[in-house]
Amino acid sequence: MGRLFEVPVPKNEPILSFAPRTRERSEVAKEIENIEAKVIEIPLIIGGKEIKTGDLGECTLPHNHSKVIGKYHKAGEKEVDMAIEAARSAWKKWQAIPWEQRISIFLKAAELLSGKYRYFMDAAVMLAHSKNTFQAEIDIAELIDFWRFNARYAWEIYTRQPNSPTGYWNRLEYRPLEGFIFAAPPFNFISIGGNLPTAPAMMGNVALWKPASVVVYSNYYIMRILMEAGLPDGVINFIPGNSSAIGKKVFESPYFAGVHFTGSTRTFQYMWKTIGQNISKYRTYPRIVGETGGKDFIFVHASANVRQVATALLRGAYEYQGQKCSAASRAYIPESMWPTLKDIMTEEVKTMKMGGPEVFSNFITAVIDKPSFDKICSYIQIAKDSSDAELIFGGECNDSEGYFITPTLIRTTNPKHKLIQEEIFGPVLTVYVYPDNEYVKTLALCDETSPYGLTGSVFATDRYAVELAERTLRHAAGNFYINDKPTGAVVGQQPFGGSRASGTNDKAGSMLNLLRWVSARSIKETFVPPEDYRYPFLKED
Amino acid sequence: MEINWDTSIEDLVANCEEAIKICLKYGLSCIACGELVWGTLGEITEEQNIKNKNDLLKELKETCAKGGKKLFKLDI
Repeated sequence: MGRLFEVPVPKNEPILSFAPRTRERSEVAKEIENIEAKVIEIPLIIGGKEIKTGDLGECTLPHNHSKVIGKYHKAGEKEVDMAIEAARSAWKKWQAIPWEQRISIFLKAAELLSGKYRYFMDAAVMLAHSKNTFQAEIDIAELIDFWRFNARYAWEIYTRQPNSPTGYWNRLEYRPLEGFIFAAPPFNFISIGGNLPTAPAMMGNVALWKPASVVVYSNYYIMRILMEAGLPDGVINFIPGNSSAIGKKVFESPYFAGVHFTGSTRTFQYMWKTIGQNISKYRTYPRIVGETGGKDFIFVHASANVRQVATALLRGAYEYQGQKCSAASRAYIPESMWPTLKDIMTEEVKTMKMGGPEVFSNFITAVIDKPSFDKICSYIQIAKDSSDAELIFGGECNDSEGYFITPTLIRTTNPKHKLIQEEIFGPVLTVYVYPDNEYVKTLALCDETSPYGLTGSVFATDRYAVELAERTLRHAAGNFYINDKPTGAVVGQQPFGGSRASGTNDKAGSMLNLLRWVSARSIKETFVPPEDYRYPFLKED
Repeated sequence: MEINWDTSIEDLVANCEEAIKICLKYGLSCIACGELVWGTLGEITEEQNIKNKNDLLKELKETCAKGGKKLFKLDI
């Protein structure tokens, strides 16, 4: 049977405009009404079956925190055990099925998300994550891209085979890992929510998926889409609940084979430590893949275009309220540009409307929940109380209805100020204004200021300045941008991830990530084996 | 809920909405990337080398016992 297939060459999913009077705008508005009109009950899904524990959590809207749209059941220890068993049981058939059969399921899921469920999922993400329409739409498009591009990358991996000299045939078999993968995504992107369990699954692995508690609603529907696409029972098991309790149980299992994580540095280090403590329990050395925090920068040279810089700062720092791992949260501005830049930003930010995402003209919506709100506001208060920091604009916190924080710009004269070193994960940008003639020195400062190394960008028209920044900041960012904001990585174009305290840099949206989910087997076949142990050199002269 | 060194950060915050502010006051970072960190109060205070950690525990106990409002009130 000839089975040498090729996966279709993917293209990035086009982004819908949502301009007034477009079909997508009216359809999403209807879906928003439908979602808000009811409260759904969300079960666990283990081995394809709905499980209800009675231990419940609520799905509320960050921009209207008294509004409940769902109640979800939480997994306990018993359900984690059930999920591990279901995954192990599914593994036997899933790892053996021809790869094109697996891949086909995810290509179908991409089609369902791109078409039938597009408007509903846009609306679900707008409400559950509190994203404006555009931010929700690019998130959905990214998940479609993950599924289509990873399908192609999987095929490319399978086609990579070793050299075979005459008389032998060498083959590489890309086996899935022997065990299950634990997928623990963050709240901020549905695309990461969907990608973390499915990237390993595409390569023949089985997974336990613990969605972020504040966005169980949207993640649940991605699980349903995967099921509709034909994902066999038990390949991915959906288990919302208390993260550390679930994680503790997972990391004790001898069948734990890997973790696919996006979230905080502290939690990732906690996971790694726990895995290390349990290492003798495991049947195989687990793969530990994590994308964690960032203190992402925009570094501006005096030759840069000030309007372009202002736009990059406004978008990079404040889109989705700065709750992107890649969001610009510190900037280095030349003294000569600062007065003009400050004026432009101060005027522009006044035009940014803030409110719930149901109003399409709102650019700023709410931060995700009360803990985040309290943390971000505490940082703003630190700035207000600092003698070496100045509030340029914003700094207002209001959680009476939703968790709203105005876009905030801080200027500090201390290049090691707490706000320019620590990740805040909110709409707070801190700038350090440097003398124009200290470009080289300040680049070094930028490199040394934060423990992270995720994203960063340089703005300059002087090519020598660009080259110097690219070279000096080589290890300061895994995703480095020239004359662009540091957010908005696109699958297939800018593989995403960073090093230092920002993670293992296994580049989501690339072949590099999928390689972590396979364990290659070398197979050598000798066509005519020798029949005499004696090598020619053993013969006497 | 009784709060002690073995209380997980998630349980603490879920049961006491003032907990984050109190922890931050003592320099304890228990939320990052918008997610609560994993681990118990004892583990996290030790890892972050929090001075006055006994005062932190005392204040958490007092405040959460008084106003300990549940963030996730469940009723289905």
